[in-house]
Amino acid sequence: MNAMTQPIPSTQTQPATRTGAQLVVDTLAALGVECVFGYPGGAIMPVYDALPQGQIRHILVRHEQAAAFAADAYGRATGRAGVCIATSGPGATNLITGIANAYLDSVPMVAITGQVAQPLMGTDAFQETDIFGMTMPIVKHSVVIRRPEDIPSAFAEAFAIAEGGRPGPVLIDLPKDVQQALCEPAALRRPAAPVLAAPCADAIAEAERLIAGASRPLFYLGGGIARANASEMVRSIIEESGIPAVATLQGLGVLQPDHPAMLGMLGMHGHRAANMAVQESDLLIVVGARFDDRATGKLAEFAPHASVVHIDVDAAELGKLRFAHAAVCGNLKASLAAIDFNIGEISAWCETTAQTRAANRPRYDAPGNGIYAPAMLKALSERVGDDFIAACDVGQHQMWVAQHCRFSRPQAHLTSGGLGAMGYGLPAAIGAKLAQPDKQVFAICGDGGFQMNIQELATLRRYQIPVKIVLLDNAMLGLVRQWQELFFAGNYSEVDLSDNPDFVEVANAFGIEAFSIERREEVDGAIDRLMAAHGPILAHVRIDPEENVWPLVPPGKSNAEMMEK
Amino acid sequence: MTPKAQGLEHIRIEFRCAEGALRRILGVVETRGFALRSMQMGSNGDHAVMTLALAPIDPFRRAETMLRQVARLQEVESTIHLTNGPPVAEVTNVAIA
Repeated sequence: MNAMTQPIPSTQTQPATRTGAQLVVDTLAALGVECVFGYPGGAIMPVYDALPQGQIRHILVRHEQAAAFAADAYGRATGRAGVCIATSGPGATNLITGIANAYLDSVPMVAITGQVAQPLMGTDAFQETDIFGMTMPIVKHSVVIRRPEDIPSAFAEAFAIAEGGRPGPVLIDLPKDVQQALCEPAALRRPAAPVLAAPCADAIAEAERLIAGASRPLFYLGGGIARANASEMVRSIIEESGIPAVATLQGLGVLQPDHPAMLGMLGMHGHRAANMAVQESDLLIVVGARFDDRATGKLAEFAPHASVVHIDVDAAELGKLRFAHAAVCGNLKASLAAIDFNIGEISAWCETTAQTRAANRPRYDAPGNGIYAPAMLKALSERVGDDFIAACDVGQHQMWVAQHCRFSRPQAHLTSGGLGAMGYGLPAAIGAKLAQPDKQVFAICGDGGFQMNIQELATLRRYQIPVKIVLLDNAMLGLVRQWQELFFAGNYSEVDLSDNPDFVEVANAFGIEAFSIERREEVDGAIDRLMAAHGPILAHVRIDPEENVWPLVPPGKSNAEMMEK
Repeated sequence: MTPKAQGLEHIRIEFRCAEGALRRILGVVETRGFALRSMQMGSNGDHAVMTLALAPIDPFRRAETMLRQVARLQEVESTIHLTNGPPVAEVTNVAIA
């Protein structure tokens, strides 16, 4: 591998030898890391001893899972690897959910774990876990650093791997004796960015042939577009070609909801116009998406009339679940630039899809005086505008955010898509706000997920991070309740959260401004108050426990079999 | 189960010797739906070659897809699908000396 050599920044006061822990801090700084999220403990103490000597900002979370989620969001927002740090044993295992989240959504992250000293490894020592082995299925790469002199190169490689190609998490396990050992600082060798092979000319030609011959083409936009920072290019292609588009959960924001070509999200809670277009299409142009089961429904009946042009940076995704007639592997921007989207006559198709969209617009005139969450979320995102960033938990509110919020770009929609991890919203909002302090960052939480990382209110308070929390409280595990209603004969098992704490009092106890609303006429004032707040604030919003998310494709069914309200 | 699912797939993987490489590769093979039936490996300490005989756990698992997933691993240098399934011992004889 080619490498550039860059000396680690040094000062005149820096001794000739450095401990491994000091080298960790030096190297992170040399790699451009400005902010890390973590929680100290025994096996990582030398690194924490060295941290104050450096220039890196450390955010002390109150649970390691939150450190991983915050680093994940930092990575999504910036495109650079977010960094989380934990000690060995329980600290490391508490990172696992966040690492898995980053893996499934292809997010750049570097997770650093302390480990017991090497002589103790493999002896069941106190707080020893094989985090290296435990995380193998959920990392892009991992390494145990055995010698302090390897730290600069191993860290540089970890960041290059995390951020390159299809991004993902990299775990670095650091035995305590390596952190404590002295060594001569070596020059930092940054691996050159991997050179991705140019997309295959035959695949490009086949893609162009399919596009030119299609009468009902459809773009299927995925999260890979955000990771490749290719939104502008995709928008431009769609505007020039006029080809309609649907998006996955992770692809939302590439096109605005009101863009004439945008038919909405496809899949289990997708828009009818999107799912119908997929079923009627004769050509799917899949960009940075992976035919996730929540998007496809019953795979055998998904897009039954369509040929597939699949464009992705990861060769392993091509043909994994659906045969690609043209499999274009490579950097998304390079691939898209190489393809001539010379489309034939598709005006009738565009008109049909537009009519379906118009006939199935969401309605916001729900009966009653209670707060209709979809309407509130739509109004909130539109009021905030292009600065709106939302980090969600998982459940009904997550789907309402996806269905009804307006995102100026996919990086503004932070959601746990592949893993579906409750508790993501609040720590992710913290990571996003620190990454993009000029944006208005909202944590949109359900009452279930919020309580999975509620302790991070203390992090908000300590650092006065002006995250705005919208807590949609239906006193239920709403999506599970909905499925029990629809698919388990109304047998409501363990979904009742009616004994929730008083969230306003809880927030106040953490030192966070908070207020509660429950009537529709209070929504506008609540949005005003949220937007005007200079510090962290929580709006507790009581909503109907029996409200459901619609439409819904029942599990195992084709996307053509959508249930409506 | 179809006849294909009952048959064995034979693959050859060359990889850089690094801590955890073997575990990582075998983990991907199993996680992606192939049961290990036999394995032979040779190594010179820096590089290794192994040949695996694998049984897909259902008829829908394709060795080509799994091999692309193995190829994503940082330590993996090459993968080959030995479509005719030569005897394992014969393949490992070409392992790095």
